[in-house]
Amino acid sequence: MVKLSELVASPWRGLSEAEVRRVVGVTSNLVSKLDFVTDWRLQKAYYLAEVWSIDERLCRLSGADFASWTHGPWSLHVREAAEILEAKGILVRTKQRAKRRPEAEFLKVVKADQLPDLGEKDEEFLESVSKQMKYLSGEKLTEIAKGTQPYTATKRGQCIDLGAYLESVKRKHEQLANSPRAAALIAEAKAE
Amino acid sequence: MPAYRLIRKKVFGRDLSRAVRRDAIFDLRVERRIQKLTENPKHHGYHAGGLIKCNWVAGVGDWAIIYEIEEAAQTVTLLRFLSLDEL
Repeated sequence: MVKLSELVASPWRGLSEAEVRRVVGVTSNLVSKLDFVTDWRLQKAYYLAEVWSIDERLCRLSGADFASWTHGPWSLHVREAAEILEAKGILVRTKQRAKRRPEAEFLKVVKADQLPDLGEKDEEFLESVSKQMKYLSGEKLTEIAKGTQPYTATKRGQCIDLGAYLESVKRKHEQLANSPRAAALIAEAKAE
Repeated sequence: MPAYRLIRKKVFGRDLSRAVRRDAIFDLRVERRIQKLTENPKHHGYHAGGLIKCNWVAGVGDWAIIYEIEEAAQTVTLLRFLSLDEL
């Protein structure tokens, strides 16, 4: 019999009901905005939306955790959100011809009227990042995701600490505000 | 539709071309941010304090767009594109 101490701790923390609703909302929103979304593309697009939300808005999009796998960031929370949407009949999987394979399974929102409301700001942000991501292949999205600072800073198999990344970006912005060099560079531009 | 007219200082152009060299995706991200600033500059950035007070800041990764808003003329002037790691 396996001893309790021998069990490997799961990297996934449980989310509250509100957090799950939020991840479900972001997942359905992303799938509806991106064309030809496989599970793979959804995972990478969701991760990039989280990182870009921190980079650009200094806040998280949702509480979803991501782990650093060899093939890029991956989230059990996002996977579970897709399963919840499938169980509700909001999202379906369809097999279609794919670019690099004879066939692939794509996710599609079929009940767009039942998409959860994320609020104007978040929907606008997702609309804007989706426009940029929808023309990128799964491979390209993976390459970009693997190049992000939170991914490169995390050991394989560990959870990516997006909370710590958010705090580090906030600190950098505080340093910017108090930087004499930045003030001098801005004054130079104004004098132009 | 852009509500504000965009003015780019020459130094901003130089900062940007150095930063986005050989990175088309980052270039697109920056242009997406700039497009948003022309639509609603106060909504997509924040009013800075400290030594750079009175200026507006919009982050893009480890970089920041520094800009000013002229409400009367309905213009957004892009001043600098600064690396947050080199300050």
